[in-house]
Amino acid sequence: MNIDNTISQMRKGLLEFCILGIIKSEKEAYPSDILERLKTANLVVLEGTIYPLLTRLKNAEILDYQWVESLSGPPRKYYTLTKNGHKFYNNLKSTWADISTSVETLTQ
Amino acid sequence: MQKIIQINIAGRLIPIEADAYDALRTYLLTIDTQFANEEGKDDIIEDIESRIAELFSMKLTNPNTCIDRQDVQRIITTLGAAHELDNENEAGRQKRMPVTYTHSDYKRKTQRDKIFRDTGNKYIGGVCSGLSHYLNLDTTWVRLLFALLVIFAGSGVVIYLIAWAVIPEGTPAQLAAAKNSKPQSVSEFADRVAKDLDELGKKAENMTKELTDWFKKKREK
Repeated sequence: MNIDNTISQMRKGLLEFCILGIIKSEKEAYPSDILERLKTANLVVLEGTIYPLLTRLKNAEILDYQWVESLSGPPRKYYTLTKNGHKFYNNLKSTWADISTSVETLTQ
Repeated sequence: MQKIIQINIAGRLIPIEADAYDALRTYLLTIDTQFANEEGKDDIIEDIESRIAELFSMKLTNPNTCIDRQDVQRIITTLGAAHELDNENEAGRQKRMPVTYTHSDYKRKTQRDKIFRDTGNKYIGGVCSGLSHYLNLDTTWVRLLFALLVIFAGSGVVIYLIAWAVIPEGTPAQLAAAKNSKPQSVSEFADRVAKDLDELGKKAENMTKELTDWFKKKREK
């Protein structure tokens, strides 16, 4: 068993949940902002891993995006939660609440 | 001294050194291969390109500068190697590279094993086509050389079998990278070949040692 591997598996599963959480709290979010928020929260990821995730969530109609003009460069993609996405996120959130309570009790 | 190329990446104009451009192109190609069967491939690449463009323009705040190889290496480290980005498909496939947050695996794969067998283009084990990518020659010439070795010297069969055992099979991404990494100069190429042959030689030595040990054990029994 490799500890790095286990840790990265843990993080990976939670990454999707965290990204949706960030988008929900910001109403709409640009990928680089999401990366910034993850970094400030000390959730270190390889930057490239969030793009396939965002695209898959978009194709699953959990996320949607629109192009927004930017002052400092070309237009940017801003991601928002769809109606489905809100449901999906709430579902994940309550599951997480349950799991974290269980884990907390079991690993004391 | 380096030639500067102007590129348009995700709508931004970026001046980049010629060898840095090659490295960037190879990187994007490996990502393209990684997500080849993905519905949202174009979106993913578009997003990654625009992130690269953003990081580059942050670097280029100073006028009269350009992107060099080191900058490209830095963005690859930040974004991750192609095989590390695909976390969804991983569960489904066997023995995929784990997504770790270090780069040791990536380095080991891309820096040490530069010769790969190309099993997508093979008659026997893909040794000749793999060698031809590496040597930057047409596959026909390499095959012809082997055929001549078999007919006239007889050593071709042995060499082929050893090469088959020693050279690892390349993934499509590694092969794409191998095809695209053109050496800079003759001396650099010679250095590269010498280094890689040395690695393969060591591998062959280990294999021979293991084999002799195995035979010894057999005989002892």
